[in-house]
Amino acid sequence: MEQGEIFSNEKVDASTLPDFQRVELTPVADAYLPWALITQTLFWLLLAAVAVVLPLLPFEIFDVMVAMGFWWLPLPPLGVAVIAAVHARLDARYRAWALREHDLIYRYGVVWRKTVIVPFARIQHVEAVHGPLERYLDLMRVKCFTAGGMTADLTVKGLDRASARRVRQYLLEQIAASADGDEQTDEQAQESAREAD
Amino acid sequence: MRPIDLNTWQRLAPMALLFLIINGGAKFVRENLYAFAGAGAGFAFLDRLGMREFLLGGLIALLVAVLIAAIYHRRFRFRIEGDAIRLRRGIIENKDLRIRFARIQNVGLSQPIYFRPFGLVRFTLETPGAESTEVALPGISRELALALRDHIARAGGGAIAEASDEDVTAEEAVEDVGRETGDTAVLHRPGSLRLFTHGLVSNQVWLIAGVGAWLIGTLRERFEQWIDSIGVSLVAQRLIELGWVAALAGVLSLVLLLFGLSGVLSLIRFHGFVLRDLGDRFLAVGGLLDKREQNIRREKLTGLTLYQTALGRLIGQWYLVGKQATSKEVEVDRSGQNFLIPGLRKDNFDIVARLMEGFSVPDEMRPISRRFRTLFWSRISAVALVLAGLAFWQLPDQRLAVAGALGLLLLVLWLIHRSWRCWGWQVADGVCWIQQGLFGLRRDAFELSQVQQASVVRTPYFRRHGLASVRLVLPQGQVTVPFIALDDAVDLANRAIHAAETSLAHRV
Repeated sequence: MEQGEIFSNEKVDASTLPDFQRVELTPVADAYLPWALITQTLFWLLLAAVAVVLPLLPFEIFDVMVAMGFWWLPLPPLGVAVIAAVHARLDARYRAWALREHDLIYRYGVVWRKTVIVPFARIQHVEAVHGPLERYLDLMRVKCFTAGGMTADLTVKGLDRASARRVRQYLLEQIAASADGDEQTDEQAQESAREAD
Repeated sequence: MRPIDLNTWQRLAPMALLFLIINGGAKFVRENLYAFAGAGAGFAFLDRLGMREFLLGGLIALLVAVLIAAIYHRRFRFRIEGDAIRLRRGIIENKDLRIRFARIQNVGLSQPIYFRPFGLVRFTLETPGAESTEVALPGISRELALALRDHIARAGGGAIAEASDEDVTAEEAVEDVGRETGDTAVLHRPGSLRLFTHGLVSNQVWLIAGVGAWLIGTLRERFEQWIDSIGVSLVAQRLIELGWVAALAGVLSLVLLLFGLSGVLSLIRFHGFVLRDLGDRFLAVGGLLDKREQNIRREKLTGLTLYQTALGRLIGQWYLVGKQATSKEVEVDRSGQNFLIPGLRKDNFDIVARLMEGFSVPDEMRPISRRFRTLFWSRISAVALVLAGLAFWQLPDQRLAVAGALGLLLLVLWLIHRSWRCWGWQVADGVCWIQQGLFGLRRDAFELSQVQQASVVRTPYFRRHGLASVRLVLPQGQVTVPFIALDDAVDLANRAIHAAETSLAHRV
């Protein structure tokens, strides 16, 4: 395709553009909070439990540790667990998504709040993933891959399984539709090139 | 000359076997350099071995290398299959690769000096998805390489007719590197002086200094012994006796040597550099010891970056890197395999519009918010002052050092100010420019229609002050415009998404 065809120079009034801020987003599924709580706090709670149990074991080294004033050892992991739980709660309240005619909008983050917009025409492929815990909680993640490196991939977490499947299907249909469009424009370009020859 | 039938299986040239052995050996040494030089263990190991064992080991290694290269050479074959190139290679694991011409974004030909007597070239193909060069034919005849290149250009480009209209066929373009012609296809032909100064101002000089320091550091003991053995230490001793003047002269000559070396390396790398516009693609040719030809398809160019290093700023010299889709996470070597155009001055900036239609270097950039400076100034100063106050109180005998540290704080604050001054952005006619830097400058330019994703990021500080950052994912990587007004950020994201959704351009 000629560069001239890609390039357009028409003035676009910003106020007439579709504004992603005006879109009403759908909050993530209710099951997302328990999933986030378990995955983010369980490790630290286990660590705290280990720190509580260890001094009770009949080993001299632990007695020495208690004597040396290491009684506070369970507190840091417990503190992290509490912070992680608060974070998960706030995150679950803010996390939301929406599908527009031509793109997917996903909002997440607690301190750094991000709103990501991915046009369907730029998605290379889509993947739906769910682990054992997600299966139990009826959740699913949808991963959207675009060009621009691996960190550019967007994972939409917290969709219930039915929504995730619908989203994946919708995305695949839209990608196929835009790919057809690509092929048509490609054919047109090739034809015009042949005519030029 | 009999035309080459590209549809039949082609093999590497017989002489390529020799180069495979040499390159394989060089690669082995390069990859195991740490084992040899890193800890000095290699030398200690060699000291304990006798010459006979060493030679025997070397001979076995050579035999293995020859055997591996011979099998690789024998199994290596390629041919054109319809709209694709197919390649079979491998030693233990056979790899069968088929790449459609439409996916190819770069075709490269290089001719190291030792290839020239045999008329061989190294032929490479790059696609957006691969981490490194996808296809490398390490030693085929020049005729075969040119036939392949032209076939790929015809099949993948579709607009080769334009090139022949201008009476500059690709072959002529390669052969006529040194010829001064007035043809319009030449976009840039920097002279030797510009190429030399490119070496001076490019950051390559620091790389050379770093490698030199590492090598000297690693081999210091041996180096000192060697210096002793050739009696240079007497000269060094004499220099030390001469004092500050000699030390200064020594450092100065070392710096001059480094810069001179960097300039000469640049001259060797880009010798006779010419960039031509062949309609559907750009052709860059240059190099003294390794004559390289890069064919970049115009439609595969997704943006460009103008760089000006701190030293380049002093003499007003820039260089340009054409950007393409990549799967690399970080830009390891921004000058390495990229499409680099050296030796640009401000009056050469019209090249930007000729490389990418509709692009022009903006005279002025929109600044980012002053809050960028305020935030970092206030946070860093607060932490530094609290620490300094504590140190002043607790360590009365270290007060001079604390005062010195506060002087350093002023330097940091000035650096933050410089960084803020360098940040800038501009959107005009669907083309976005983002500028950043500290002492040097970097200007990224891309069409908004190339955007793959747009994110608007807001921290609590941003929310309090009505600010936001915009992160745009492009085929060539990510760019960020930090600390801009929320309305501007939303507008930029909306424009980018609208441009991407209404663009006729394909997925990369």
